[in-house]
Amino acid sequence: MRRLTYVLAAALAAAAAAPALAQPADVPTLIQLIDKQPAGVDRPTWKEQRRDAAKKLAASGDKRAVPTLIKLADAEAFDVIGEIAIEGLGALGDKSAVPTLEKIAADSSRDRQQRDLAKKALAKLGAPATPPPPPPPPDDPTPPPPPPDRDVSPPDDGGGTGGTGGAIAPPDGVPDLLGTRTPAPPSTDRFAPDVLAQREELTFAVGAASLGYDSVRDRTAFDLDASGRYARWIDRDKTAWGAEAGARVVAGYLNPEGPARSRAVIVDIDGGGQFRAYAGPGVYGIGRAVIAGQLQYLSVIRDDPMDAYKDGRTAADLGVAIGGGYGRIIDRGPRLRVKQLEALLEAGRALGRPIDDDLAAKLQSVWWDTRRDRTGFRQLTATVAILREAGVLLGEPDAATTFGMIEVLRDPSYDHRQDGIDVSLQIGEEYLLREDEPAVPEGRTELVLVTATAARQLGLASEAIAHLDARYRILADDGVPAPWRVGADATWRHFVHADHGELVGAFDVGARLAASDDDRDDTDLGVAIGGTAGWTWVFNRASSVRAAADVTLDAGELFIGARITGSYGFLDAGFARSAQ
Amino acid sequence: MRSLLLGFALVLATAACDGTEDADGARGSCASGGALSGCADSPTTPEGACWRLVECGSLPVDAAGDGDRDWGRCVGALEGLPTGRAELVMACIASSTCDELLAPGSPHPWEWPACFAYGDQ
Repeated sequence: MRRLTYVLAAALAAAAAAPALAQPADVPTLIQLIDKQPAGVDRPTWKEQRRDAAKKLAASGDKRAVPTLIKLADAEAFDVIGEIAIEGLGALGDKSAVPTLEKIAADSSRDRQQRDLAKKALAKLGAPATPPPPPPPPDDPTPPPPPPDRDVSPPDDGGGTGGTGGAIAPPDGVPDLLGTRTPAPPSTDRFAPDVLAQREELTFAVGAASLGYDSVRDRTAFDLDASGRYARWIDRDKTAWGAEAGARVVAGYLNPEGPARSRAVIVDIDGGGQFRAYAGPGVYGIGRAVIAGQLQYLSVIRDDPMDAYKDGRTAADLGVAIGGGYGRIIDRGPRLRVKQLEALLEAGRALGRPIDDDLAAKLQSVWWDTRRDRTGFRQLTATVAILREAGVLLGEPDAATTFGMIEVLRDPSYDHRQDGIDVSLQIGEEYLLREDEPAVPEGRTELVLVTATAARQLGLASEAIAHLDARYRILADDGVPAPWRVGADATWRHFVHADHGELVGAFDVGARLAASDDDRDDTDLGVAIGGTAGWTWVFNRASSVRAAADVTLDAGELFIGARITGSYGFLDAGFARSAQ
Repeated sequence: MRSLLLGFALVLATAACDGTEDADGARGSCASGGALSGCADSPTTPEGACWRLVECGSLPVDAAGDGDRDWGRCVGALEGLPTGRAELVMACIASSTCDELLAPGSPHPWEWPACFAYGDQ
């Protein structure tokens, strides 16, 4: 009797519980909960609720849950919800899950436990773990539909043909980490697999700008010296190319009391490009082209109108060079930034697994897409989302980790971190237009150029770079000098960070050596040696001020000096496939 | 290493002025040819602008004759200009190609380079 009571109680309990698990009306609600974060629920809580909902769907026996579970099984490779979905697909017994389960079972990049669960689910569905070979095209004229969660639209721009992953942003309309909407999800597959490194820079500098008036002399004065430069460079397995263009404007105006006044304007515009084709391991052929133009105008009107002076000068350079070389210099900075991010998470005991090159490429792709953003909001939220999705970041980042991530993301010490060896020999042909006074050499000039760079990153905070350049004029007419010059310099730089990862600045020490000869009877061999030590304060990704001391011994004369230089930039972004 | 330094010191001493000739100084990477050689902007200070003139072969580091134009007198000339004018001259020197910075008689000129016209009042 007692036993019968237990059985009855158990039956009643099961009868009471069953509707809660399998109630058909709950399935749409559960699916909605999985797809969309409810308002007022924070992300960790929502993630827990999703897992519970997935469990309920798996136990519901309702076929309407199958598409959602397929999507979860396919996409959630690093969350336990993926395993819940795989098991659920086996329990629901719907054959439409077979292709997805077969793919998971055969995917070596997936966790072993997920693959084993997929095999078990396939066994429950009566399907083998190894997918059958695809049928020949004539037997299957209609292409199979894509997996329900895959974005099959092409990348929006930028040569992202590699396809290292889908968009990382949450589905449309879903609040992101900080509760606001992400307007344009950054891409995670911006760079094709053969892209080794990429850079883009946009910098403006104002040397001086002033407008003044003094009543003592009743004089108005204006000065301006401003410049801007844009550069882009892409390194691929078999090729590399880059282009840059710049402009500089110098203007002055002086209008004292009386008829006297003077005006001056100098405008410089230049541009150039380079293409390299790699024929073997490191060996390349190179082609370069440069163009430059300058306009100078000066007008001086003195108190005596007859004593006026006006002068306009123009100059233009057109040059091409071809040659060959060995090696390449890669800007490893963006990849070092990823390494620093990894080190930050490890120090904060928040690192679930190391960041490999594929994941690093996803992160850099997002950073590249958001490089023009005025603030780092999208960069940070997307970075957190990727790291969480990949199982690298364990849990939501705390305040210290979030601050550290912000500092790493905007740290300019990870820009322009060159690494590698590059040696080139080029033969150049230039045409110089100099039709104004004073008479200066113009026309064709041929020269041989040699350049060499050796750069090494010494960990995350130091680097050493050495350059060598040489030029020699060739094919000069009889009686025309053929000057030469050889120069070399080396710099060691160390970046200094504060306790919480904030970049304070950089200390650098350098040395240089140069020798030259004008190939003229009235000049001698020139030899100079010098050294410099400087400290750079960094304000943002592209702006800094540097104070330095210089010592130079040139032609036996010793010079000691100091200088302060500064620049302000708007854009500085890059990509590097590997940190090595 | 020691002998290398000694040898280099000898070269420097040889290249240095012997008291009777101008000390011309070493040239920069863009002292001949045009934009292909590449030429970084010089600092817009009197010292930096005058170094560029030396590196371009426009002036000697140290002229043997009293009053001849050289690096020191170039710095003095720029420092003697009113502020706005000096900035124009230095910006002109910084942005010009080396051959445009040559003056009549360079590298031992009897006139200043054309950019100095921007210092005219």
